[in-house]
Amino acid sequence: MKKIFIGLSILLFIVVLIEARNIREAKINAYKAVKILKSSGYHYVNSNGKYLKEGRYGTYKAFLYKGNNYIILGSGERSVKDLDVQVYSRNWKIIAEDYSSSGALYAVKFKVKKTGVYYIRTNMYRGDGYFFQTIGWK
Amino acid sequence: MKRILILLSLSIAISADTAKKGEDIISQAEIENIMKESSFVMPSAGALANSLNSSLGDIDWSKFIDVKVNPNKKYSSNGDRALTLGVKGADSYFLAISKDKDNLISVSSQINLILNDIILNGRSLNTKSRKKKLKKLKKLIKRERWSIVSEEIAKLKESINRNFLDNRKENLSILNSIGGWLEGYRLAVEGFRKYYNKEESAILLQEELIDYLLKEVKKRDIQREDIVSILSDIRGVLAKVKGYELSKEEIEKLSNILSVAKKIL
Repeated sequence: MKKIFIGLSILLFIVVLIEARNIREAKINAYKAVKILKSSGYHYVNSNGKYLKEGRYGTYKAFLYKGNNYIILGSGERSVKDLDVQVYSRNWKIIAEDYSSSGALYAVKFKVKKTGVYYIRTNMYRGDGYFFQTIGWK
Repeated sequence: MKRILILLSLSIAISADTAKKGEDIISQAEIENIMKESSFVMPSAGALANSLNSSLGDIDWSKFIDVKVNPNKKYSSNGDRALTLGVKGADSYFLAISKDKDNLISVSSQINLILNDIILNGRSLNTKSRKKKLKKLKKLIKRERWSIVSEEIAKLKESINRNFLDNRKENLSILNSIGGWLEGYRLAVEGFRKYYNKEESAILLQEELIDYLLKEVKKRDIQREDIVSILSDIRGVLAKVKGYELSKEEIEKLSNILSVAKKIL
C-alpha cells in the first residue's frame, strides 16, 4: 500500500513538472511575441493562458478603442501544431482572421472603427496544449 | 500532362484544407455561451488615452489630474492603495501621451510612496529591483524618451498586478483594475466635457466593462459599497443613452458622478 502511494506521488510530481514546463514554454513563446510587438512600436496587454484540446475553442472578450491599430498574437507550447483565430465584432461579424497553417502561432492586425467589445476566438486546429494571447495596440 | 495533373490535385488538396478551415461557422448556442462565460481582457488606460488623442487632439490632461505629492497621505487598507495605484497608473499613461515631464515625475513619486506602504506576506511590494525600475522610469521621463516611457509604465503596471496575483490577492488585482478604469473613464469624460464632440462621444459607452467589473466585485465579495454605487450610477446614465452618442447633459451627469469618485480615489 505504501509503495503504491509513493509510486502515485512520484507520478503526480512528474505530471506537475511536465505541466509547469509546458506552461513555461508557452510563456516563453508569448514573451517572444511581445518582443516582436514592441519592436514595431506596439504597447501590449497579456491575457492569462488557456489549455485547449484539439478541435476546441477558447474565447476572450476585449474592449477595443476606435482609431487604435491592434495586433493580436497567439502562441502555444510545442505540442500545439496549428492555432487559428477569428476576431468578431459585437454583431458577430468577422473583422480579422488567421487560418494559415503557421504552427503554434497566429497573428492578426486590424484598425478598430467602432469602440466596443470584440470577441477573440482561438481554435486549436491541430495538437493540444497551453496558449497565451497578447493584444498589442498603437 | 502528368505534371498538370499533380499540380491540379495539389491545388485541390490545398483549397480543400483552406475551405475546411474557413467553414468555421459559429453557432448561436456558442455565441450565447461566449457572451456569458468568456473572460474579459481589461483594456489599458493607455489604449484609451491613445484613442482620445486621435479623436480629441492634443489635450493638456494635467488640468484634470491631481499631480501634487502628499508624503503624509495615509491609506486605511491595501485595498485603498491598490485602487490608488490603478488611478496613478492611468494618470501616468495620460501624462505620457501629453508628454508632460514634470507632472509625470510627480505621479511616479506618488506611485513609489504607495508601493512602499504595500506589504504582502511580510514583504514590501517596493522591492529593490522595482525601486531601480522606478528610478529608470524617472530617468527616461527626464530624457523625454516617450515611447519607452509608455512601455515602462505598462511593464510596471503588469508586474504589480502579477505580484498581487502571485500573493493570491485577486481582490487587490481587481481593485487595481477598477482604479485604472475609473480614472481613465473620468479623464475621458472631462475631456469630452471641455471639448464636446458628439460623434466621438461613443467611446464612453462602456456598459460591458462596467458589468464585468461589477460582476468581479460581487464574485470576489469585495466590500466596497462606494465603488459599487459609482459603477452602478454610471451604468444607469449609460442605460438611458439613445443611439450611439452622448448628449452634453449626459456627459455632465457622468462628470458629477465621477467627481464623487475622485474624492474616494
